[in-house]
Amino acid sequence: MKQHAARNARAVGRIVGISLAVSLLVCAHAADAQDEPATRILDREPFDRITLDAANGNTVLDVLSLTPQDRAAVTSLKPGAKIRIRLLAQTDKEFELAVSSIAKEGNLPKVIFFEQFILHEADQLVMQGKTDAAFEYIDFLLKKYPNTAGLEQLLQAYLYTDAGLQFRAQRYDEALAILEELYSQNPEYRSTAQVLGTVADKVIEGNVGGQNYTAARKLIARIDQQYREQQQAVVTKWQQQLTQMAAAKRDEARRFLDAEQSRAARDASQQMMDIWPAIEGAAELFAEISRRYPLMVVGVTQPALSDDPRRIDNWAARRTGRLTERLLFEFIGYGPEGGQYACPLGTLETSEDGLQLTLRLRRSGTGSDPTSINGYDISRRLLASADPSSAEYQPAWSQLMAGVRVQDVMEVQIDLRRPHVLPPALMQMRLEPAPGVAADQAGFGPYVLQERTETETRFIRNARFTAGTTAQRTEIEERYFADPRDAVEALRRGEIDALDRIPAHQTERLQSDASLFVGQYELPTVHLLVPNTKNSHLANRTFRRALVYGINREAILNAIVLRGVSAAGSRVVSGPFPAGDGQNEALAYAYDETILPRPYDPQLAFTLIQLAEQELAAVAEKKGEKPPPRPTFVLGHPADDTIRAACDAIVKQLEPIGIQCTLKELPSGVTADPSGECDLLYVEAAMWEPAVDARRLLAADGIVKSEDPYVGLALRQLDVAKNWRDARLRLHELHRMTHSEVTVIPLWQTVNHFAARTTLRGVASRPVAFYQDVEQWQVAPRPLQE
Amino acid sequence: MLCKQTATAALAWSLLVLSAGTSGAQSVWEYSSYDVRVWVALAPAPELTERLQQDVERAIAQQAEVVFAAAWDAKVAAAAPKMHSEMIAALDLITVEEVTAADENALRGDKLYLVVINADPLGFSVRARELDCATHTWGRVIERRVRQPAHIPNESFLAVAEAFSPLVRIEKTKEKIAVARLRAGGLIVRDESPALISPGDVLRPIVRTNDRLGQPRGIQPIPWTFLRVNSRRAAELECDIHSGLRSPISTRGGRRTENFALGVHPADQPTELKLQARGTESQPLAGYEIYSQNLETSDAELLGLTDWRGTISVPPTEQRLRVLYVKNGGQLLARLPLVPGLEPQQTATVADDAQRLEAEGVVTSLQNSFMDTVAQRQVMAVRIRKRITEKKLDEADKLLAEMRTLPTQYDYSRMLDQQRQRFNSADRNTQAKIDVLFTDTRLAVSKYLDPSLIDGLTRELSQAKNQAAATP
Repeated sequence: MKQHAARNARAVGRIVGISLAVSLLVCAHAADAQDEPATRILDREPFDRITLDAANGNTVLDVLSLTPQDRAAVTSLKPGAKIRIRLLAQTDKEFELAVSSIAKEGNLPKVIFFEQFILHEADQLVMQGKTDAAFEYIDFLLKKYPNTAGLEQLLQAYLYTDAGLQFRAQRYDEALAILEELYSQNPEYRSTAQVLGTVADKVIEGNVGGQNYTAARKLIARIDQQYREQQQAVVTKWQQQLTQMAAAKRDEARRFLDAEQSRAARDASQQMMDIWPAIEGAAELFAEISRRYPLMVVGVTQPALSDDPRRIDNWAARRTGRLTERLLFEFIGYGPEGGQYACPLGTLETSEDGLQLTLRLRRSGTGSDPTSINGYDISRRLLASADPSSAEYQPAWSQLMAGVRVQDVMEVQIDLRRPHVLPPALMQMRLEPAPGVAADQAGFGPYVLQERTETETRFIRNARFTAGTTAQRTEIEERYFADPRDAVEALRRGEIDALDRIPAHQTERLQSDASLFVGQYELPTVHLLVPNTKNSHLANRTFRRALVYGINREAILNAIVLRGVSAAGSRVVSGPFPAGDGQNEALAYAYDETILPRPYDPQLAFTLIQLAEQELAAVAEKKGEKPPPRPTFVLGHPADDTIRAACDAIVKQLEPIGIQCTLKELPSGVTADPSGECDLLYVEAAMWEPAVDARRLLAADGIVKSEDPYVGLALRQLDVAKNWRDARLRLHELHRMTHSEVTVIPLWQTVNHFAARTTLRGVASRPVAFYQDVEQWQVAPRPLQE
Repeated sequence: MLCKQTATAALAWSLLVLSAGTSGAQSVWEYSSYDVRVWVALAPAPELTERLQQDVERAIAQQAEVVFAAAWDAKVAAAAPKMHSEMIAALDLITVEEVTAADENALRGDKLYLVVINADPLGFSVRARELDCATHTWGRVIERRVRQPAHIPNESFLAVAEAFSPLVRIEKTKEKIAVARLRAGGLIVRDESPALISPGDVLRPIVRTNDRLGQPRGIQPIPWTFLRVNSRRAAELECDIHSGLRSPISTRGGRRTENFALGVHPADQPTELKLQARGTESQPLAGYEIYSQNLETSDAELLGLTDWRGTISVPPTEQRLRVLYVKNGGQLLARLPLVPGLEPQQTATVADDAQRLEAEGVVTSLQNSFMDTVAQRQVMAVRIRKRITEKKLDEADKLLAEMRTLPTQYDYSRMLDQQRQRFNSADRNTQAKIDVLFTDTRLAVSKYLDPSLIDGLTRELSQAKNQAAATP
């Protein structure tokens, strides 16, 4: 019964969730809900039916439910007793009725109490197979009249009928749950035991057919434990079948192992363990293969088409960039004053006046290796980043660096024109192979790309990479899931070892799974709409403000992104920088909390659109041109389930204020729109170090390509900030300016989580990037699951 | 020394006679040849012989006669010993003073060409550089590469011809038009003569101020100013003046002031334009917008923004002359005519506009917020009146209370005052612009955030409440 109630509660929750979302999204005025006509007995005022004796003409009286005292007097046929009644047809008047005037049926008074009406109605509904409707009646009786005679039988009949209905609808899981409840109440009820076996067989068959062997094994174990005597046949049948299947995979894995076909052996052994890990030799074989060919499978919902650890607008490229590339300085977390950076090659010292940096490279792991990096290689990278003709040119670094010189091959001294708050943030430069070494043979990351298909990307160990590694590094396979629900299920089933992003509403569920470990990324991502200012409407700041007022960001965040789940740190933002998450406020140094997000105000949005178009018309008139017609805007977004739903909601919200949008989904893994076809582009930005990322996002050559002179000035002033106080002030100024100019349409920030099986060891609990400590990761052989 | 015979002098004389209506000075200017001197220096190398020196001198003189005809009277000679080694070592660094020290009469003519021939492992280089004597202006070094020594004489002349810049004298100006007269223009009889100037050519004006003896007291190229030839009638040129200055050329400077202009021959290279702040020592102006105007259509296109060094690369165009506009946040700060390739780098001094732009950003931000408030008030006023009409007075009350929480005229005035205190510029012009920004915004605030709107709504609501109370 509990399970059934939970099912109904879930259904109700889903409906409420959907209707809430719909009402919020389309910004429509909700029509007044019409009350259902109160024809059901359940909805009527409780009443009892009293039949008087022949002396009183066998009159039937429908009266308001008797008080407990009067009820007791009636049922006991107390001689000389009188009861007070109110006729349903005339409730404002009370009458006295002698108990002796009530007709008798045998020794009982001829009275039908309200609960008996309900019981009868429920019974009828059950017989008609209307179990959903009957549930309300039964639930009512259980709560209000639990001692009603016949209720227990009705409940069992209801469960039996409902199980049959679920079975016919092929909802075997639910049928089984209902039958188990019925069995617990009355094992003898009709053919419950037999039916339970049949349904369990179907459920296991479904699990096996869907390759959800873990669930199948768990069910077999439970059936065996709880109903061994009655269900021996089912248990034996499936134990044998799964054992045979696992044995076939075991033999297959052995053959592949002998043939040194590592990948096939690994896949076969994985399947063997998944199907029936208890078969003879399975654990040893799996351990052997894991030892010889360690592999970690990572589920991803955004495939990486390229690897670039510095991309702030492409989560996937940034993720895999950590595998294939190392940077001269890498962001590893936050300290009291902005980001903390580590150099994988050595250590950095800063002079007291902040005008000289000394980078000392470690000698280990270099030697005669032609791919090793020395001070001259580093100096070339530093100079290239300051050279306007170089592809690696960084204006901010060029502005900062005065000169570079190498001492004793392994020491690089860098002179700065002025002190800077975070020089390493500007030194996140790619390490290039030494001259004469082919790039594909000299990757500086711990992994090199082996194969990239639409659904899988495989990375193998980089034999040349030695820094900070453990002896046993696994190979990594990234498996793409278009639907995050499939990815979560794959993780639960053990098909993948980790999932780099999990939907917010799944976090709690996965945290409760003892076989999984859920971690939170150290830093949130900021979600934005980037306007294409080549569109004359979007070039108008008043129009851009109208868009902000016209999008109910709070509702979309709560109803669609978070699905009603409370997630500390996920919130609507007023600018492009990360705000505090309640735990680590240091990361919010660029965010000015006094600048509040604009509220949802569709009327104001509508008014501002009219104002903006007046401005556009005035400009056009000056030029002797016609005012630009309001176009249908193209909203581009990455191929992501949640983002797709959020963009769909945005389109629906803008429609009532007169803004038509069409959605354009970018190809899987693509996050940019270099062709400029999109008028608005959804960007999820990892603005982890606003002091330097602000330029990457907002500058004329950045992601936003802003030509706004005020923003440009604020960026230049930020570039020359000499201390943290100054930098913070400049960033707050930039926040204020981007808020005022709506350089981007800020949506919200989300704190993000990942999940991994507990067999994956060495994963930090709050990493910055998914593969941050990948060199330390180890996949332990999976324990046998029963 | 080879000297061109003065046969052309007769022609000049006859033309002078024919042009009886013109003044004597004008006739001399127009109908006398350029007095051209060419100094040739060969580097000490076995292949560069005395014979070759003679061949070079002869070739230059002979070909000048053919190509320039009467327009040139060229005297070609070996470089004076004092100049020889200087020319070979650093042709591009030689100064006017060094030239006059070597030969005190060197500047008596119109043009002096220094020609240097050098040998290197890849062959020979011929380099030539012009010194315009009237304006003391050096041209850029023209270099030609030669593999065969036999080609050196011919290439030497070609280098000299390429280095040649026609000279004009500006006779009068009116608004944006200048009338100029081409030196030796009356002697040029062939359209293909390199001494000729044609419509579309670009000239760089130079002012020369003389002392009583006619010696130059000051020679100054007019900055950020060029002439673009519109039309030519014989030796008379009509030119558009493109300048970053208001009155770049004055023809009323007296008899001792002469306005010349030299034809420009830029290299096919970009020029790096650098903006630096006026009044400060090399403070670069980063992020300023540089627009380039198309001289034919007058349309302007954004060339780019100056980088952190305050520089931007200006590539050459077919029109040679580019008129650049410097803007910051839409504010026009300077007009800079420039010929890319004429100089590798040019520095312009422009007012530092950062403070004004920052003030404009702050004011714009307040204006945006102010506009939203005005719109919100209007929207709420409509909604309140609708509620009053619908007799939903409680709702109207709530909305009115909400409306009262919106920023008021006083709030915006206070914010404007606070922000205004942040911006104090030492530059009067900048401060004036900043003051205008704040004053205009304050006026708008007074006009559009009229407190009487709320007062009026309060009265309307109060009346409606009274009516409702009076109705049984």
